[in-house]
Amino acid sequence: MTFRDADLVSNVVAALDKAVEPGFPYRLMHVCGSHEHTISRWGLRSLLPEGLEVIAGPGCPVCVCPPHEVGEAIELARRGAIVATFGDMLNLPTNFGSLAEANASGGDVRVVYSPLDAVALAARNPEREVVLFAVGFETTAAPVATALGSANLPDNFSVLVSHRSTPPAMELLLGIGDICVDGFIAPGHVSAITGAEAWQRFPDAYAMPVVVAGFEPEDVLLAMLLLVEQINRGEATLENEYSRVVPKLMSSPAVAAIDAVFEVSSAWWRGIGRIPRSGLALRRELGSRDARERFDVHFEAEQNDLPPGCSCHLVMLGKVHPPACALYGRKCTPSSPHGPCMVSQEGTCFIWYTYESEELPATTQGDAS
Amino acid sequence: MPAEPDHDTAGDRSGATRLRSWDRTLLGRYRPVYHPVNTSCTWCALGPCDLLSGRKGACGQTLSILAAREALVLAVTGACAHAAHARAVIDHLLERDGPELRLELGPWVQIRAPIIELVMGVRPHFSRDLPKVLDSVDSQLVALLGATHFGGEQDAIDLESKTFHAGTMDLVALEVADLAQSSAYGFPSAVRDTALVPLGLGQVDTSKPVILCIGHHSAVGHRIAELLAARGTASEVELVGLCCTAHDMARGHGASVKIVGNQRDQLSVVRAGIADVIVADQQCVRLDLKDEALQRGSCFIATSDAAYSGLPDETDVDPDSLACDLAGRTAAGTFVSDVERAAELAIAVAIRGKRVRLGPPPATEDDAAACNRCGVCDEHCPLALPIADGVFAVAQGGRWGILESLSQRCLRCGRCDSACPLELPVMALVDAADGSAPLRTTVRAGRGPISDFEIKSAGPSIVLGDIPGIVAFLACPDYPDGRDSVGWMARILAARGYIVLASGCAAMDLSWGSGGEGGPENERQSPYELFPAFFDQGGLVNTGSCVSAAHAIGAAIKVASILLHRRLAGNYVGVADYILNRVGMVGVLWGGVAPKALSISAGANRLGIPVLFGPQGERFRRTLEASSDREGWVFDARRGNRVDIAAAPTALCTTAASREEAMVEIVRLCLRPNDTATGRQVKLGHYVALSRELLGEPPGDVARWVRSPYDVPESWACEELTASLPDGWVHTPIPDPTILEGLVRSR
Ligand code: SF4
Ligand code: SF4
Ligand code: SF4
Repeated sequence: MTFRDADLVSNVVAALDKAVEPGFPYRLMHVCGSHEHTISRWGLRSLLPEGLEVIAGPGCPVCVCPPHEVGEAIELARRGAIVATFGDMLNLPTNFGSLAEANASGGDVRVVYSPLDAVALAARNPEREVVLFAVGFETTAAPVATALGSANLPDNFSVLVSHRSTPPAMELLLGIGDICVDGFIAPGHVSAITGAEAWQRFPDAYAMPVVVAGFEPEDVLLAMLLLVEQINRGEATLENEYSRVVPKLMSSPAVAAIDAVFEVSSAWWRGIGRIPRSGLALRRELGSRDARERFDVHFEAEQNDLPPGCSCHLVMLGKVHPPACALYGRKCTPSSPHGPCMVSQEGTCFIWYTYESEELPATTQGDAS
Repeated sequence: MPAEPDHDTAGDRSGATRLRSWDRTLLGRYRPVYHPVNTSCTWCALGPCDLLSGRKGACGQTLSILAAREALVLAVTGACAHAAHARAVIDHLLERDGPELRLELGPWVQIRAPIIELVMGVRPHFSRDLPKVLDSVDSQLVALLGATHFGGEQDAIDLESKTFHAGTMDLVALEVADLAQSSAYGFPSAVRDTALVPLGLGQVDTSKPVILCIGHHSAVGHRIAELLAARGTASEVELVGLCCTAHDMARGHGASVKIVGNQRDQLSVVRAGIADVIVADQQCVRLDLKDEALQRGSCFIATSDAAYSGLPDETDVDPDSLACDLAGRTAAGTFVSDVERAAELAIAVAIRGKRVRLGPPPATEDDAAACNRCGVCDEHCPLALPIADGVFAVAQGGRWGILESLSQRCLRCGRCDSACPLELPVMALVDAADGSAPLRTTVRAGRGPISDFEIKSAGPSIVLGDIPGIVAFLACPDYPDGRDSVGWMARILAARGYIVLASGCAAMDLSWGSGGEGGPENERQSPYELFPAFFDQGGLVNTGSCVSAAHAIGAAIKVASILLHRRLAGNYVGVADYILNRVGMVGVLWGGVAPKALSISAGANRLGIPVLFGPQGERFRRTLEASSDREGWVFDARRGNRVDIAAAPTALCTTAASREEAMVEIVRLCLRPNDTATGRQVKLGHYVALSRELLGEPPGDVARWVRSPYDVPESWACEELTASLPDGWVHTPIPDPTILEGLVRSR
């Protein structure tokens, strides 16, 4: 595999080599499955100088979707609704089974590629209830909001919302402590929607450097360089590496669309717990489009929301890299996933298993005991 | 980030001094401030040695050392009381259920014994595992007491470290006792809606024979309830409890047991003559209770060898014939140590026929008539209530107003009675003045531990500050300002989204008092009916009796363990550092007077949980305060430097003069160095609002807590902030705080 801009890559890597001070640990965290995908697929960790570590934070919306919400979707399928969802959700293992199993046992679960597909599905099946199981961060919440705002929305269309917002989880990570992160790489596509607002408090209140980055390997490496330079200067600011796509970090019209449809709520993150202000819920006036209200399906969160032995919570909190999990690559592989992080293409375990080389450090801080 | 170091044993030894280096670190930040009660020492036959004005005793002791030694003795005494109680519970249950009794707290509680695991490094699974834990507690308490002997520990900080250790042993004993009894009696565990149990003298149906159980070890009470239920006679006998025994009986038997009151009420209750039989076990039983009971015609059965009360041991006598025999005695008192026999005896006495109860008629003006306002009663009242004016006003024309106004504050200790040179029934006059108060409310039966699920659910909100703090009301009911004080505080806190926990006598008193901010349509409704009984925003949880205070402390440990995903065994220091810097929990011992209160407080303090006492707290000889801003420093584990910040919490062990001051102090004590920006904003918001509301002005030190503009509470106008910011205020980033140098990244 060759880089699109090999010169740029080698220049940035050389600059990183120079910038990283020996004996001085740099720990950078990204919070987006797409960034992990780029890092692993292009083997970027192997290019990094010693002392510079990049860890994956809570960046996979499928992984953090709690079992009881999947259970609600399964229940709706069981009651005869067509449940439309994104492909990654199908095989997510829960105590209620998976959506794929629900499909196999007579439920009607369909994979869609966009919320508008689900609206079209509803239009084509006027005699059936169609529920979009909407999972994702702001990047998916925006098209769902647009879909809900579309004219002539079929009456038989509703949404089971499982949207999440990352910044509160990042603040929680800092609050829990024990992570020792020196800088955040923020996802460019989310920033294109939310603007600077979402990240500004990290440099301001925590003196935590943040760089908004795109998804090419060059983008991610450059973001790391910008972070390392900030750290070396003892500075903490919000920088934008993704300016070719997001010239100015300001909130987009999509934010207004999201606000019109959703309100901020607390939300359960699988393996982590209930995080205040980290979820989106449909506004009360849209109650008839809210599948939970419409069908009176309200499942409670569960105490044991991860399969036994799974360390996804530690992976998602950036406390360990996947190989520290005793099940990784043994009882848990992409073809036979045991935990949620091995299911989704944005899951850290899935990505590591697919791309990472064996020699990488097994842990960030310790073992997953 | 270095691998998790084992601080507990770092450079140190085992047993009572294992945590010495942590203690010295903690006490370097929170210095003991001594409040000597005795200024001369009589501990050895060389004394008394007057220690004022810097004089040393003949053994070399100073006044502060004396205060520190006395505090240690009190803490050990308290811990011994709990350890002995735990031993009595275990001995009984081993006899009843054998060594293989599974220690279970239900499916929601996987970390069953966080304190034992943290301190002792073991996980008890069966009843047979617990005596070993207690053996270790016993031997360490002996070592601690030994260190107070002539020529023992001579350094104040090392004495404080030992006091901490007595507190730690106390917490272990609490957990042993509650784990054992919860498992054996199948108490509800981490269940939300336990029964609402009637509370108050007004709830007792005195038309039935009344059995009153008093104390802390509820084995006999449980057996009585079981026997009454098994024989279908529960409705014929009024089974009531007082103090912690009552809590535990209610946990086991719900509303079929009534709670008549707590430790403070016992003299009034016994003097009211409502009880045909009084079953006393151990702890917090008044030392004159037997005499008072016998004078009122109640039959008094002592059941614990911790308190024979001078009674004949008649354990071997058949309960029925003993009941018959007692009926003929003028002073019907006996000692029966066997649980089964004591229960049978109590029932036999009760159903044999009501005894002639000699509850005196309410006191009247005539009883006060002789008062000459000499003021002796005031002098001897522990609260220095102006009681003489009150009695005199009644004597001079039946004006009851003053006594009525004092009646809510009076501790019903009866000291004024024995002090009055004219032997006037002063306390009865106070009781008579209080006659209008309807002594009936409800308390939710204790629900034991906080589930792991609740921690996972609420933990992130605690870290992020959406739940601004956890406030645990613990221990005794001898408040400086009335029995409604803790209920008043709890309502305000729960309404503001704090998690309120309660145990022991304080948990009962949460039921009293008129509604504050949480005030509902029905002002008289018990807060237990108003706030949900779970560990979450605005929840109000009664864990149970005093020993269930272990669950409040356990909750803080579990927040650390569940959020941090760290092992407990061998990681005491890591967890304590975590709680100190990140978990905004405060213990409130507003009426704490028994030595046990000091032990619990010392145990909590060492774990990084600050404690607030009423003004009487100074009688425990010392408080632990951050004496200057400088002592607020922490290491920033992320950046590797030491940062000077305002001390948070501001003290480890402190007092407040009034309930209003206490409220403001409680919310301030919930501040932690790691508060997220949102968390600090929310916490400061409550601090400013409560200070304005209750003290009439905003606090003077808000600016100390503002680290960046994100911390500024919405209620705090910009001009006010700017005016209060000190010259040269600079924005300090939120650290990743620890006071353990070993956790700091080396850069
Ligand atoms: S390897 Fe599998 S079981 Fe282990 S943390 Fe990852 S997803 Fe969970
Ligand atoms: S001590 Fe007795 S006589 Fe003296 S003021 Fe008090 S009640 Fe009156
Ligand atoms: S009974 Fe009341 S008035 Fe009398 S001494 Fe005790 S607290 Fe004071």
